[in-house]
Parts: sequence; structure tokens; C-alpha cells
Amino acid sequence: MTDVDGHGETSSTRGRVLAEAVRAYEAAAPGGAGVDDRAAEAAGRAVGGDFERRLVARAAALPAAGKLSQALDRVTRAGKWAVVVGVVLMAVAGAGAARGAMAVSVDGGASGGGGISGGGGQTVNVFWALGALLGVQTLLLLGWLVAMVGWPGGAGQGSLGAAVLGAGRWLASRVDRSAEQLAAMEAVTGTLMRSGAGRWVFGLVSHALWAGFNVGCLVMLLVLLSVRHYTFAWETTILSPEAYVQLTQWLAALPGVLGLPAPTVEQVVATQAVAEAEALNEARWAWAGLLAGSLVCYGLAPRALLAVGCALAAWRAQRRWRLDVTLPGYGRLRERLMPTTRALGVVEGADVEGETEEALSQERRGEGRPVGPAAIVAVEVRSHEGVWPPVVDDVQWRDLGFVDDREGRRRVIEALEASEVEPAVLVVVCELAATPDRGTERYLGELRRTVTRSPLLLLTGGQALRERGDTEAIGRRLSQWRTLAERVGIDGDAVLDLDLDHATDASLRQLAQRLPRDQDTTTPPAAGHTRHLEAAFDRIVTHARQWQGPPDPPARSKLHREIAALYRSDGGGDAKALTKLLDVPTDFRGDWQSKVRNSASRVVDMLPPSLRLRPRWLAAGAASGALGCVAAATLLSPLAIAALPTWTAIGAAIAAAAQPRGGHTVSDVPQDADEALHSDDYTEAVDAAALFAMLLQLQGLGEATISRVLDRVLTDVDDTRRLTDADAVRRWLDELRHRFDVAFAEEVRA
Amino acid sequence: MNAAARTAASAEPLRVAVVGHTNTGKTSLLRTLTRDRAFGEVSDRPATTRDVRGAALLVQGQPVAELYDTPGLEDSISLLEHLEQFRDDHRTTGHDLVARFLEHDDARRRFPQEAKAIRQVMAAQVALYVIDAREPVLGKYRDELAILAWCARPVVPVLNFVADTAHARTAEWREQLAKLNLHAVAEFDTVVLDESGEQRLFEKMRTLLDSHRATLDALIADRQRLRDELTRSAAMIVADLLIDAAACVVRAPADEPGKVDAAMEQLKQRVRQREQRAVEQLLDLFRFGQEDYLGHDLPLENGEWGWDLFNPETMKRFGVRTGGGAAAGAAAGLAIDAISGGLTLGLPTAVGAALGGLLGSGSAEGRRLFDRLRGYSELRCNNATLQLLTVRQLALVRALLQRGHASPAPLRLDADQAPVTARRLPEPLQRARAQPAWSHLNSPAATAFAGPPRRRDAAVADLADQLHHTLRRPEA
Repeated sequence: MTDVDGHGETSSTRGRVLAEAVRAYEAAAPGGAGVDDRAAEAAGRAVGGDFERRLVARAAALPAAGKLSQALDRVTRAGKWAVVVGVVLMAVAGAGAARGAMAVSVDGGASGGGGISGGGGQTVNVFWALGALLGVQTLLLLGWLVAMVGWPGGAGQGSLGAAVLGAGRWLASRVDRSAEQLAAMEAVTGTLMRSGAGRWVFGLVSHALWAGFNVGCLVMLLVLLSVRHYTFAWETTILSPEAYVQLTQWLAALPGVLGLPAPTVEQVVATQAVAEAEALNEARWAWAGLLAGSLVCYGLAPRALLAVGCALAAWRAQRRWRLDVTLPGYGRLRERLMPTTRALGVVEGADVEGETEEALSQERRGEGRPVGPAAIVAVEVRSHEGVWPPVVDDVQWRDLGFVDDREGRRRVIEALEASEVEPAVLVVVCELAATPDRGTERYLGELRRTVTRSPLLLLTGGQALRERGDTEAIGRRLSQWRTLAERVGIDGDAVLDLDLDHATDASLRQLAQRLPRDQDTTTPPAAGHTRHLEAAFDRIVTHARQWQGPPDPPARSKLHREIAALYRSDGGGDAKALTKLLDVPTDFRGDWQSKVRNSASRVVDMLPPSLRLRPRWLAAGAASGALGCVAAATLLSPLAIAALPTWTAIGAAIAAAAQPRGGHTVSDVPQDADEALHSDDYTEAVDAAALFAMLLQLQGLGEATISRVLDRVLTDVDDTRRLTDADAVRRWLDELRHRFDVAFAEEVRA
Repeated sequence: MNAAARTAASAEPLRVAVVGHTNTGKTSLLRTLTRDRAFGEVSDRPATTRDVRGAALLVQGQPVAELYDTPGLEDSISLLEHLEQFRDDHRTTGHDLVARFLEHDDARRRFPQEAKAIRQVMAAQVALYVIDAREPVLGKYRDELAILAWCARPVVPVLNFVADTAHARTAEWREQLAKLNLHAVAEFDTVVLDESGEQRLFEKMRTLLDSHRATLDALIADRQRLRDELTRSAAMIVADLLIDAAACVVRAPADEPGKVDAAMEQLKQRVRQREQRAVEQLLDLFRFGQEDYLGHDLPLENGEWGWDLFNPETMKRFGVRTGGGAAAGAAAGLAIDAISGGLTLGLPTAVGAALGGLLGSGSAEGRRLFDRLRGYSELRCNNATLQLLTVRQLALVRALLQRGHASPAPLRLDADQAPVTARRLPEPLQRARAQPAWSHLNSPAATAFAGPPRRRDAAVADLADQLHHTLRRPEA
């Protein structure tokens, strides 16, 4: 730990250790989430370079860095002191060991310690002393080497160095248990372990300690040799003297290089006997030299060299060591210190809201046009799977189709503007899921301006949005569409969320309710009620086949009644429509004649001007109005039958209604009651009935529309034709029906 | 001279304009590409972005590309008509029209958003045209593409929301775009971050921008490396948690049931808090904030998982087999060394154990036996709990890896997303079992003499490697 710094610490290593300490400190903090210090992060970014460099810079710039740095210093100091104390202790131990070794006499056993023995000093078993001083440490050294070579990944945890440093760590933790201190210790140990420097540092400390031991030994040995008189001898029981001679020569080789004296072969041999040994003074000097020389060469020198080597290795490992930037504490900082993006801010500001708004023109084109059928247009609808246009009760659509691109948009606008009639209601179908954008808004605004009444904005496709599972989104979208509708002038309640592809009867009824049906306000988009024209014409032919000559008033009345019943039978609302169309009284008392005349006049009024100039149609119109009134009245209430006026009275009413207005002179109009209800052939009766049927088919379209359609149907009809039999009636009615279809289609297209 | 100029030009960051119809996810694309949740404003309203905002993509701190988020095109149909007004003769090109439009003040007032977007396209080297693939190819989109074509810049259509396979019309769009001669189409869902989607987007840009090939290559390589590092960091966090949990031990006197219960609760609480911490670390690592997971039905509730770790139901939910019924029963998630007292162990073992215990940290096994001898129970998480922790954390990491930074919805943990792990406990966790010193959850006294935890580091690294491998493997 400490020694790391002592032996070749580079500033960057120190920085990395500090970064590790910061990491440990942050991880130990409550929550362990790490600190977000913007200033420090800015410092880290400012330093540039790779991520590690920035991490180190950030760590150094943190407020906690000062305390952690001090804690690291303390740990370093504690480690150093532990080593110093260890070396001193080992030196003392070495001195003790030397004294003990030198106290072992050849006679066996320890002699009296420090006391000077009786004779000429003490006799020391020279090989025993060498073994005592060098044996254990050499064995440990060999063990260390084996461990280093045989277990390269090992940390050297069992070594003396590890123990001493562990003791230092323990001591430090006793002294100071602050978070900084603990973090610093964890950082230092962690660094030692991860960098691989640990084993070398432990080795270094071990060798330093043993070097201390050897120094202690050597000093004590020299002191003892200086102040005492020793006689060196050796003994053996089983070995030959040659072995000792050889051993001595080996041992002496290295000290000999250094110029230290060594016993000669004769001296070695002579030393075997204590008595002889005492006599040899030169041998004494030589043996002392061998003892000290061995201690230096085999004890001190290897330890010192290995210490230097370990220091170098530790230094190298430290230098090579890099922070593991994938550690959890660092990963989180990557984006902050080494951002992968940088905001460039607003390059071009937003415009002031509303600047873009064009003044919405309130001018409506085509004001005052007659009302036609309801129109429907789909704007940017993704896909419509069902029937188009949607089938809604009684609604005959004017289908404007699907609009998606520029041409389509223009086509629809032009069609709406050029049309003679204004749609009773314009239904604009949009996709609910689509984002209402300004382009759509502009176009809906244009559509809005083609009609006087608020269009109905029908938002389809909500089902798809619902399938996406986001009901909140539907609400938001709907409100966005409402806002858009409001801006373009569509009434708020005219926005409808209705998925046409997933429409139910209920939702269609909801739609039908939104489509105006009241003729007086906005004409219902009707005319789409079930078609009974064929049935009505069939009925006429059937009656004609039964007629024997021109039908009498009761027969004609019966026919009208049946036609009215046809149209009444579908849906309860039609009887009312019928009474409205013909202005049939609901009160059957009083002046019936004027009531019937009123109805007759009403039908005459509905005839286009050109027909009103033609007597046959004037008469037919009056007759159909009068007979229709009677039919409707009798359909509505049995009371009416009882109150019915005489046929003469009805004929008079017809004749009165058929009188030309505005001073026009028309010949051949019925002048009296008889004339009004009697004719030469089937022509008048069939025409009146057919007119009645067409009126009923067109009912609900508004008078102007009815008038226009009738004009188209009848404008170039040959008034001189005569219907004398049922087959002629059949042919005529077929032609009429064809004319009606063509005229109606033209009207719808317009 | 020329070469020097070219070098200078290539040092300039690549300028990219992100354009598209309103509300197609342009800002979301930038958020995801920049991993910046705070970039701009995202909503499903039209015209959320009304200004032009930029962000630079950095590689090693150097900007290599600048992305500009523009307001949405909203009224291309009118704009195209408007542009046509500037045509004076048949030689006028579309590019002229656009240039004249930008010079014209009046036009900018009528089409402020479009003008901004077009100006950015003209200033950029490439445009990303973002498409909501759920929309059909409407006329307004075709007009937008026509106007973009007039800008005479390479265009990479980016199909967003392609992950919504039920509604996305990817094929339809691709076909239409091919007809417009746009073949380098990228699919990139901004909500579901596809690991390779971003890379493919850059690759498409590269095909159109030969002069910036090196830049884009560097960007691709850097983003890949970062992602790998990110995954590795996440694996480290999970591995750290798992080792802590596996090595966590609580001791309680065996003959006092109350104390055992209390210890059990203590253990549970420690592990829960540790998991919570790991979750916070993960969110922090991925740059997601509290708001990303504190939604109402999120796994974490008031700092605890909605699905409690020690609830057998949770195990079932995450597909963890609890093994024997006994373990899953009363003390769900906890394994108890219920053997107490030395009688069952035999004298020699007991002596050895006692020695081991006295020797301290030397032998964890010895300590355990010693504790038993003294009548203590040891409580630790059982294998099923560790497995649940593993599965759940990996599911979280995977969810985070796949989460675009534009996702407005709170994070949801799908149990099905959990990777299928081997029934066996990973080997490093088995190692950790016998090492109380490895767990930060254990009291410091237990770890005081443990010495440098080098072997713990190795175990965490091993486990992280395994988890990293699992995370990189594509889901089955």
C-alpha cells in the first residue's frame, strides 16, 4: 500500500488511487448512488483525454477529495510506520537470533548465555550457528520463490509482508473509523489487488523485514566477535569430514569473491577437534570471516536484491495499472464526463404564436342555394373497409368520395362550389388517429366555406387507436380535433367519434340523429328512404288493368290511398312527412273542401313553373294533391272517412286549385267539379297517381329539390299522348321511372 | 491546397437535418440518438416542436455529426402550390423555387414551420425524413417528399413506429419510397430501441455520403463499443448484487424462535434494500430517472418491488422453480441451517470446527460449524431467491437496453422478457455461498480480518462475464 507510493509513485497513479477511494466512498454512502457534482464533472470534462483521465480529474475536483487525499496519506503513513516498526522488531529479533546462535557450544546445549566461560572463551559449533542464522530464512525465501513462480496469480497474502501491512491496516482502522478512512483503505488494498502490484509490495515488505533481521544479526555477530573470544569447531556423528570440507568450500566461494577470509582445508579438518581448534588462531579469524560473509552473502544480499527487484516490479505494475472503467461506480459517470452528445441549443427560435394564422374568411360562397341531399367526403381516411358511403337510415348521400391529395381536394371544393344545391349537411370524415395538422385545418376551412351550415366532422378509425390500448390518447386526439373544428368554424357538437368500420346500429342511429331531418330548418337528407316507386307504379298498372274505362273518383282515391300506404309502411315517421308534404289537416272537422283545395294547391305550387303552364300537369298536380290529401287523411284516422266531403266537392276543390295563377291563360283546364274528376281515358288518372308516387319518393328533399327533379323528369314529356289501356300505362310508367332515375341521379351528382 | 481544404472539410461535423410531417417522432428520434431524455419536448400534439434545436454526436469528445430537429411539415400541399407561384419559365428548377421561397418574407410568414425545416435541409449534408409508418402514404407525404427532393440533398427516410407491427405499413412505405427513388430506407423505432437499428441508420447515411464514410464508421464503432461497455457495466452491477446476496448470512440463536424470525426479517430487509440499490444504480447507469419507473404500476413501489422478492408468487411469475416444496413453504426464499448443537456432529468434527472457529477467518466452513456448535442458526437466501434476483435483474437490464429515450410510457417489467437461465446456480455464486466476507451486507465484524477481497473481485468479474454473455445473446 504505502510503499507503493514510496517506490515510484507517479502522479497519475496517485490520481487513480484517489479515484478508487472516491468510488469506494461513494459506494459506501447511504444509498450508494454516487454524488452528482456538476463542478467536478465539468472539471473532468475540461481536462479532456480519455475516460479514465476524466474520471481522475473529476475525483480530484470533488469536495471530498481533500479529506480522502489526507486519508490516503494517513494510510500511507500508517503502512510506512508499520514497516519501520516491523524492520526494527526484525532487527532486534535478528540480534537475538545471532546471540542465541553464538551461545550454542559444541558440547551441546546452550551455555550460560552472556557469561564468559571459564577457559579461553566459548566454543561455537560453526555449522550449527550458520544453520540457525540462515536456515529458517533461506527456507522461507525458497518458499516465497516457489510461490511466486508456481502461483503467478497469487497475491502473496500469506507472506510476512501481508501480515505486517494487515496489521498496519488494522491499526489504522482502530485509530480512525471515518468513512473517508475506510474508503481510503479499501482503495489502497483494492488498487494493490487489481493492479497486481500487491504481491510485489508484499514481497518487498517481506524482504525488507528479513533484511532488517539480517542487519540485526550481522551487527550482533560483529559485536559478539569483537568483545568475545570464540573458538569455532564442528562435530559430526555420521558425516565424513570431507563433506564439511566441501560445504565450507562452497559456502566460502561467494564471500571469497568479496575478499573475506575463509578457512583452508587443513583448517577445516583441524577444527573438527575442539582441542585442536583452540590452538588454531588463524582458523578462528577465518571461521569468523566465513560466518559474517555467509550472513551477508546468503542472508542480507539476496533480501536486499529481491527487495529492490520487488520494488521495481511493483512500480512497473502500478504504472501499467488502469482503472477498470466498467466498474459500477464509473459506468454511471461515462456520459457525464465523456458525453456522446452535446446540445447545441436553439438554432432558430419559435415564431410568435398566431402569426401564422390567416384571417379565416367568413364569406360563404353560394349563399342562398336550395338545399340538396346530404354530402359526404372522406379526407385522408386511411382505409375504409365497409360500404361507402355508409348506410344510414333514410339517407341518400351525395358521395364526394375520398380525398387524399391536391387534385382530390380541388375536385371536391369545385364540385361543392359549382353545385346548384347546397348539401343539407356536409359530412366530413377524418381519421381520428391522424394528427390534426395545419394542412388538414386549412382544407377543412375551405370545405367549411362552401356551405352555410356547419359541416359534421365524423372521426373514424377510433377502433384502431383503442386497439393500441391508449384510451387517454383517444381523448387527447378528440380534443385536438375539436380545437381544430372550432378554429375552422365547425360547431363543437358537430364533432363525432364514430368508427364507420366498426359501426353498430346504435352508433349509426347516433349519426342519423345528427343529420337534420326537419324540413323547415334543414331539409333532412332523406330521399333515401326505401324506394317504393316501382311498387307504386306496379300498383298503378294493376289498377289500370282492372279499370273498365276511365276510373271514377272512388277508384282513383283508392289507388292514391294504396300508394300512400306503401310509403307509410316503412318507418313511423313517414305518415307525418306525408301530412306535411300535402299539408293534410289533423283536424277533420270543419271545411273539408278548403282543406282539400289547400293540399291540391300545395302540390301545384311544388310543380316547376314550366309544368304549371301545361294544363294536363296542372290538373294532374291538383288531382294528386287533393286525392293524396284524402288518402292521407283516411290513412291517418278513420274519423276522416266519416267526414269526407262528396266527390263533387273534391272535384270542385281540384278545379279551383287547377286554375292558372298570375293571369296566365291556360286552355283545357278543368273548369268544374265534373270535369275535374272525369276524363276520357286513363291518362289523367295515371299521371296524377304517378305524380303522387314521385312526390312521395322525393318527400323530404325540400320543395325546391322536388320541383327541380320533377322539372327534369317531365319537361319534355309529350302532352298529347293518350293512355287507353293497361299496356300503354305500363310502357309509359316504365319510361317515367327511367326518366325519374336519370333526373334523380343528375340531382345527386350536382 | 486542395487536399488541405478537403481535410478541413472532413473535420467539419456532418450536418444532418431531421425533418418530417408533424408528430412523426422527429424529436423522439433525436432523443434516442442522443440518449437524452431532456432533449426538446415530446407529445402527441401536432407542432410540439416549433423551433430548431441541435445536438452534436461526439466521438471521444469530438463532434462528428450535428443533428437538427426541425418543426414538422404540416401543410405541404399548400406549400407546393405556393412554391409553384415562383416558377417563371420552364427552366426554373425545383431548387430555384425552394431558394426563392426562402428569400421571400411573406412566404415565411405563411409557412413558418416549413420554412425553418427547409432552411435546415438546405444547410445540411443529409436529411432524415421521419415517417410514422402507421400512416398510409398520403398525398401530403408525397408532396413533402417532392419538396425535399427539390432541396437537392440526400434523404434517408426513417420509418418510425415499425415495432407496432399490427399497424405499421412498412412494406407499403418501402414500395412507395422506392418509386420515388429512395432506396436507402432505415427502420428505427424510437420507443423500442433496437440494438442494431441505430447502426443500420448510420449505415444508410454512409451509403449516401461517401465523403463522410470515415466519420460514420468511427461513429458506428464508437457506439458499438459504448454499448458493449454499458452492458458490461450493467452486468457488473447485477453480479455485485448477486454476490452480496449469495454471501449474506445472518446468525441467530437457534433455540430462540423469536430471534430467528427477527433475523430472518433482517436478512430479507437487507437483500431487498440491496436490490433496490442495484436498481437505482442501473437506472443511473442508463441515464433514466426516477420518473421513468415511479409510475403507478411499476415494479418498484416506495422503494420496494411491487412483487416482493420473498413472495412465492413472484417466483412463479418470473418462472423460477422453487424446487422442493419444503423450501418454498414456511420460510419462502430462505435457507436455514437448522442443525444446532454439537451432538449430531460427533466429537472429532466438533473439535476441528471449534479450532476452525477460533482461528477466525481462515475457514468459513469452520466458522459455520463452530456456530452450529454454539447453537446458532445461520440464515441465508436460498437458491430460488438468488435465481429470482438474477432473472429479474437481467430482465430489467434488458428492458433498459431496449428502451428508447423517447419512450413516454413508464418502464414496465415483463416477466416474459426474463431470460431463461439454467436451473443451476452460476458457479461464482456457489463460491460466494461459503464466503461471508464477500458480502457487503454482512456486518463489518464478519469481514474485518478477511483481508483484501481479491477473490471476491474475481468472482464478481466471472459472474459479470457470464451475465454479459447472457445479455448479449439475442432473445429466443
